[in-house]
Amino acid sequence: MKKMLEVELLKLKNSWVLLVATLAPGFMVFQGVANFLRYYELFTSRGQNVWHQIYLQSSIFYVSAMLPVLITLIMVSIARIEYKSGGLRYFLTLPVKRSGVYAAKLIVGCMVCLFNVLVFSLSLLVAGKVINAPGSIPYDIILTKPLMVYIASLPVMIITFLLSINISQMGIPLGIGIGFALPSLLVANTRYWVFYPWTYPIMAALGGDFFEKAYFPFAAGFLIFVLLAFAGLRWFMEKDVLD
Amino acid sequence: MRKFFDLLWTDIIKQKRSLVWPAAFLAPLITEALLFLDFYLRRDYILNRAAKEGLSAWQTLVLEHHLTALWFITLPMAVTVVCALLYHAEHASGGLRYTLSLPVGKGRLYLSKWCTGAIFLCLMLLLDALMLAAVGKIFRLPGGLDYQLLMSYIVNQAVAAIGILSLQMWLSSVTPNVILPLAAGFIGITTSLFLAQDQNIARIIPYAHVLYTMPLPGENNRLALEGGIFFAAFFLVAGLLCFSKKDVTE
Repeated sequence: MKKMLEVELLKLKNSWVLLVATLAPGFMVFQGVANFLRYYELFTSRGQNVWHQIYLQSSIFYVSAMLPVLITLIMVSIARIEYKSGGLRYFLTLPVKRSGVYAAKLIVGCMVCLFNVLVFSLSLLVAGKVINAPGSIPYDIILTKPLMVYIASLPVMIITFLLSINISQMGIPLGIGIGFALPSLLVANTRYWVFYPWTYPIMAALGGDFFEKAYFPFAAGFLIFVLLAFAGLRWFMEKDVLD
Repeated sequence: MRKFFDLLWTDIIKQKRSLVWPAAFLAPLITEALLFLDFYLRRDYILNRAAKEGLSAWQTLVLEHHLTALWFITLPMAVTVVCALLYHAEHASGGLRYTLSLPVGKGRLYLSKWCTGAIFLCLMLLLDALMLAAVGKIFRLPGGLDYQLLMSYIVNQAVAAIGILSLQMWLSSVTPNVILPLAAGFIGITTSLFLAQDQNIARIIPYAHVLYTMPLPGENNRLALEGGIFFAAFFLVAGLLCFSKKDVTE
């Protein structure tokens, strides 16, 4: 398994995915801080916590638009490497455990997504320090919250992963991933958000007044991930090498 | 000239079974479905609020379509995807390498791809405008259909989006890795959402121009039009220059 993970990581070594996963959160925090500074008076007039305001401004579009789209790009990239070179077919003819191949790809995909979220946290920390945000660093806001977002994003990860690994035409997982991400901010403001996994990261990140079921995005997110991961594994085990 | 039209026709034919068609049609469809729901759930509230601000019913429809139904994000994203898919089909099948080895000018080849993208953009905008008008009619908005408003809206969007199209066409032609232009587009679009509120910054970000395309009182449409024309020309020339130097074996 360790070898499989090393192989998967090696494949990503020279791909643009890691660069994209590193740069994108930085841009999001930059635009969030720019907006915060633009409306500084408004956002601090009632003595609001500056760290929390930076987090809110940076998170709005990060969790609703950027993160689900990035997850889609990451998962599509991981699968595309195989389909482009015919590597998956080659892989499946070798005496390696299919479950190992599947798990290694899924773990690496989730690791890159986690890396992306951690870079977001780090960018928040740097941004707060650069603008001299008062008070001690609130790790519960800049680290714990993004990690909760990560857990709530698990269903999006597994859905896009399964689509990417099963469909050689990359436009389909890409279209579904992006198409479902776009209306998520609107759906999150309705009571039907529980049926739409793309809203879970939004509910986990922005919570606030409409965060009615605090546990739901995490519990449902984890459950959906586990169920779909096992269902996907079963399908992958039966996959014809010529498919 | 005939060679160019042959190339253009070939490029359109190539898309017959590609995902460019669904991408171009689903984007307006999703947006109009959201707009429909928005009006279905709170038509009276929206119209009353807009009337207090001095907006007509059709102007309100455009406003809701653009901002609440998120067309200002969906349109640039759809353009990004269409451009990436147009080149991805070539890179994946090796068709570009084959075409480059034929006696057709690289400039013509690049222009035909650019025009194909522009045709899909126009189709997308036309479909969106038709469905927008249909939503207005379904909800019996007071006053007749405001043709002038819709026409200005389409033209503004087309000009603003053509700047994005030029940029994305250039990025997509440069690299066979489809993820790169897509990522650049998505990062550019999402990053510009807040930055676009400052008109001085929005002026230099092509992805931000679509936000300024609503033909409503107080909207700076000039920013979108001037920016769209400038970036369309700039990135078209940049793309042509890069593509003309492209090695056939790349």
